[in-house]
Parts: sequence; C-alpha cells; structure tokens
Amino acid sequence: MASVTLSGINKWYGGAVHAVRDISFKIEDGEFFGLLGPSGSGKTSVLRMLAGLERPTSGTISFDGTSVEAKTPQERNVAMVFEQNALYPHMSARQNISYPLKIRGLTKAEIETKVAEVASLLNIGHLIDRRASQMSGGQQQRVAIARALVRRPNLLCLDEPIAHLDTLLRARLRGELKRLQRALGTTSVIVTHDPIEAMTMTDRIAVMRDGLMQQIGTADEIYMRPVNAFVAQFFGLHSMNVFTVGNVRDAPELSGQCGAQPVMLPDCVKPHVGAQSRSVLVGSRPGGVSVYKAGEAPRRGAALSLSGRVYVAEQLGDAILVTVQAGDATIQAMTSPDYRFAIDEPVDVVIREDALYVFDDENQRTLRFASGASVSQTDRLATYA
Amino acid sequence: MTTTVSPPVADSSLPETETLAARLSVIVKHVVLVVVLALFLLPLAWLLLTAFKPYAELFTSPPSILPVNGTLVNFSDGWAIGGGKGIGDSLIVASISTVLCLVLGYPAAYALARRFPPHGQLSFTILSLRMMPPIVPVIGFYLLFQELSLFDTYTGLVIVYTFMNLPLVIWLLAEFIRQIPKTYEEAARIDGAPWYRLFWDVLFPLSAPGILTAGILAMIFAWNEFLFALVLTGEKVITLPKALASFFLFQQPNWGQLGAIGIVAIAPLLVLSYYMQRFLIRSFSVGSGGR
Repeated sequence: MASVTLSGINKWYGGAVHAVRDISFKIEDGEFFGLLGPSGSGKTSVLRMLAGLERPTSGTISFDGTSVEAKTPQERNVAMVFEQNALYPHMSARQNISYPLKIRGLTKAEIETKVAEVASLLNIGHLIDRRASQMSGGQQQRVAIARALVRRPNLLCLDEPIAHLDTLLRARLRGELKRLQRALGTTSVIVTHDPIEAMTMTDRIAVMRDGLMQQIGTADEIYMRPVNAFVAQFFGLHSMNVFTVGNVRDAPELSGQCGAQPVMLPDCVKPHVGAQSRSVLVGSRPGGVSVYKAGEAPRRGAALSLSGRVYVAEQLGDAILVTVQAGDATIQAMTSPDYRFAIDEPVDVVIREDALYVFDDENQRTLRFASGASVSQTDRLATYA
Repeated sequence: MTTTVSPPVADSSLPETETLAARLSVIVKHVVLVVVLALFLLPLAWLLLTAFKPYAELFTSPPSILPVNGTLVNFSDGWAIGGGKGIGDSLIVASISTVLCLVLGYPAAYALARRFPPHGQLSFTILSLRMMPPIVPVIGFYLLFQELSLFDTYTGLVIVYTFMNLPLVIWLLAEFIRQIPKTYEEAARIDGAPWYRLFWDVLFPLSAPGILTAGILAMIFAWNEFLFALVLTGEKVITLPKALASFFLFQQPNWGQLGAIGIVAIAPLLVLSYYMQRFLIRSFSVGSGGR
C-alpha cells in the first residue's frame, strides 16, 4: 500500500495527440480514487502511466515519495483489472490467479494458500478450475480481481472493470468492490466514464476532459459545487440543465429570452449578466426544477420561470422525469409520480433561486452555486436504471 | 399440409416452386462436386492402384482396374533404389528448415504485428518475396553455393528452404498474433512477467494454432520442392521429389515402384493436412467462443 503523487504529467502520442495535459494530484494511502471522464478525456492514459504500462512524456510519478517513472509494473508492485479480455484464456482460474505468484517464485504451498485465501474472499471457490470461456462476464471479472489482489499490490488499478457487465451485476459488483477495498485498505484507482460508479464507490473523484483536469473532490463536493458547466452536466445521475438566457433587460422586471421564449429571472442572476452580451448561462439539477400545468405556477418570489411544452415524460417508478422544450432550452425536471403530463402539453417551468447555478457566459466557470437542500435529493435518491 | 385454417393462394404456390428449386440446386451442387473430386482423385487413385500391381500387370489391355495379383514388392524395391534415401533427406531438410522458419519468423512476426500497420508496406514487401518465381533466385543461389561450398549439402538446402518459406511464415504468424488482444500481454507485464515468459506463457500458447498452421505449410512446401533441389544438389543430397524424377533418367521407369514411392511421398502430407484442418476448425471455434 502506498500514497501516489503525480505532478505535471503530460502524455503525447506521436507528437500530434496531447492526451494528458499537465495533471497533478495525490492519492492518499488506502484511498479509493476515481478517474472520471468521457471517452478521450485521458483518464485511461493516466491509469496506464500509474500502472507502468506507459511512460509520461513529462512529469513525475512517485509512490510513497519514491519516483517510479522508470520502474516496471512489477517493481512498482501494481495490479490491474482490465475491462475485457482480462484473464489468460488458456489457463484455469486457479492458474490465472497463481500466475503473478509463480512469476515471483513463490513455492507451491505458498501459492496454494494464497490462492485459496483470495478465492474465498471473492467467493469464487467453485470456479477455480474453470477457464475464462466457461465463466460469465461477472465471474471472469471476479477472478481477474482475485488475480490482482492475490499479491497485495501497492496500487490496484481498475480500468472500467465492470463497465461491460449487465446492470444488475454491475450494481452488485459496485458494492462488492467497495467493501473489498475498505476491508483490504489497498490504495485503488478506478477509471470509469460512469459518474454513478465513481460516486458510489470512491472516496474522491477526479473529473477529466480533453486531457485536462477539471475538478478533484468528494462526490458531494463535485455534485454540489461543480467548478464549471461541463462538470455540472457530466456529473450526476441526470445531467444538469444548463441553458443560456439572452437579451437580458432590467425593466420592468429582470427578464430575458430563451430563443423566442420570455424568461423571468431572479435578482441573484443580475451581477452575472455579461455586460456586452447581455446574456447569462444558468443551470439547475432536474431535482430543483418544478413543472406546473400552464398558468398554475404559484407566483412567488425569487425564481427563474418560463413556459414551454412537454417533450416527453419518463416514468422512473418513484418519480417522473419530465423533459420540457422551452424556447431554445431543453429542461429536465424530476417530479413526483402523482403528476401526469401528456406529450406537447403546455407547462410552466420554475427554478427556485436556491436551486439555481450561474456559469460564466464565456469560460463556463461556475459563478454561483445553488444553496438549497432541495437541489439534489430526488436526483440523488432516484433508482439507478 | 393437411387441414390448415387459412391457406392463402400465394403462400401455397410459392413453397412448392421453392422446394423444387432448392432440390435442383442441391442436385447440381452434388454433380459439380463429384466431377471436381473425380478430376482430382482419379489420378491419385490410379497411382495407389499402380503401386500394388506387379510389373507384368501394368500394361495389360484392357487394363485391370484393381490389382489382380496384388503385391508389396514395389514398396520394398522402391525403398531400396532411392526412395528410402529420398524420404530420409526430405525429412531432414524439411523439418530443420521448418523449425528455423518458426524460430526466426516468430520474433519478426511479433514485431510486424505489434509495431507496424496491418496492411502496410512492410507487411506487403515481406509477402511479396514469396511471390517471386523460384527460378529467379535459383541462379544466384547456384553461383553463391559454389563459392561457399554449400552446393550439394543439407545446410545449403535448409538455407534455401528457410529463405523460401520465411516470408509466408512471418506473414501468417503476424496475422495470428494480431488477433491476440494486447490486454493479455499487458496483464502479463503487470503480473511481472519478463519478456521471455511473456512469450512462453502467454503468446506461444495463444498463437499455437498459428504456429502449427505456419509450420505445417512450411513443411509441405519444403517437402514438395523440386526446382531448388534439382539445381542446388548433386549426388549427396537427394530429396524425394528429386529421387522420383531421377527414375526417368536412364530407362523406362518401373511405374509400380514410382507409384509406391509417390504414395509414401504424399501420405505424410495427407495426414498433416487432415490434422491441420481439424486444428484450424478448433482454433476458429476457440477464438470465437472464449476470451
């Protein structure tokens, strides 16, 4: 087990692709760290550099303060679980798990004990003599995790280990992996494109985009205080609604337009309206958006409100996700299942001030965070489908 | 087709013509197959039958189809007059050059598969060496071998056959290696395997079908090769094709003995091809079924 420090890491592929741009962060000893981002964000490259499969073009990586860039994966004592083709297909589960120990020259008896230990830990005793082709995807990944853990690595690298499994199994393995990591205390890094995986399993998350680090923090921090519109939209079960209100005027009330649709704005937005552009970038989680039948919206204080039509209403069991087309904007709202909305039904959309985010019109940085508790609850608690 | 509730007109008429067409096409397919097979197998069958006929029976008119007085004497005589030496020499030269092809070819194939684009210039250049007519390099080889005292030696012929088969072996192995996902290699590196164990524990077992296929092909080509053997060897090294040809040189050949040697010459190939076919089919199903 080790703490891992990356500083000033850059990775170029063939002089043309700048895959990782000046990334620095520290993973604490025993921490479960998530690298989250869409495909092409550079997260996998970072993991491969941590594992020692690739060398950074510039920058330093150190384990417990010792520089490791020039060291092989074995010297670093890292283990890795791959997304697919993780097990050697010509070996049984037992041979797969034993392989790293065999390489290290352990005796037969030692290997046997360790394999039995890790097999019972991962509950794969009954699979131990099967080959990869005789196991399901989930079983294969369990064996792959066993192979990674059997030698007690300094760092466990997980490259989308459960991404291609089916939904139920994924949910179960999420829990298993988290418990396992806690129990063993192995410093672990998981790469994923799925915010839910990152949120549910890890202690801290780094969100990446186009090779650039966007934000590092706990799931709550990133969820409640995303640094920019990208993180706000990428992070969470449902994307944050982010849309531009243009043509903002002061009189008679603070208002603007979303396409042709007039929008009433709360006063808190006022300082953030671009002096030149007279526009403002606003956002809200679906849980912070209320939808009313046209004309029924309560006329109350500080809130952003506009009218639109229902694009689609999706039943999620304990909630309904209503998508509203309002001018140029597509706004999603998480509403209680008591309301029923028909497609194309005219509705009013209200976002209360305490659920409203404001972003810089130009560089998309967050200027104002939502404050209310109402922001997130429905979204956070909704079933992951 | 007894008492259906709704027999639409179009439906009942279509299947009949379809089954008729289907049957016809099956019949035509089989006829074509039989003709093609006969074309290939009849000479072979005649060779086989000739091998068991005594000399006197060879030119009877009308010819006997099956040997009347079947004999094995052609085999023992054929072995004695040069067939045995031919088989031995062919085995030596073909097997050594095959092993050399695999040993030299595998690392090259690995580099080609992992470091170069799949259908790039290098890949094509290597394969194109195999497309050269053998008559082109043979003169160069002859002159070189005279200078280097390799004329009429096992070493010389092994070198030539390795040169001849290496491009194909490299190209074939590279194709097989390309199909092995890189994650297996990366997993092995992570597990701490040094490079030689990476090859031994992971790459060789996973490319075994490729190694076998390439090896068998190299073996067959070397076993069958005639031109190089004819030009580059003399009295000391006499491979089987050359031995067979030499029977025509001095007198009316004994066709029975020729048939016997011919049968022995192609028997290993038939066995190898049969096993290669089974192995190839298995390797395909392994590739698609398991990860």
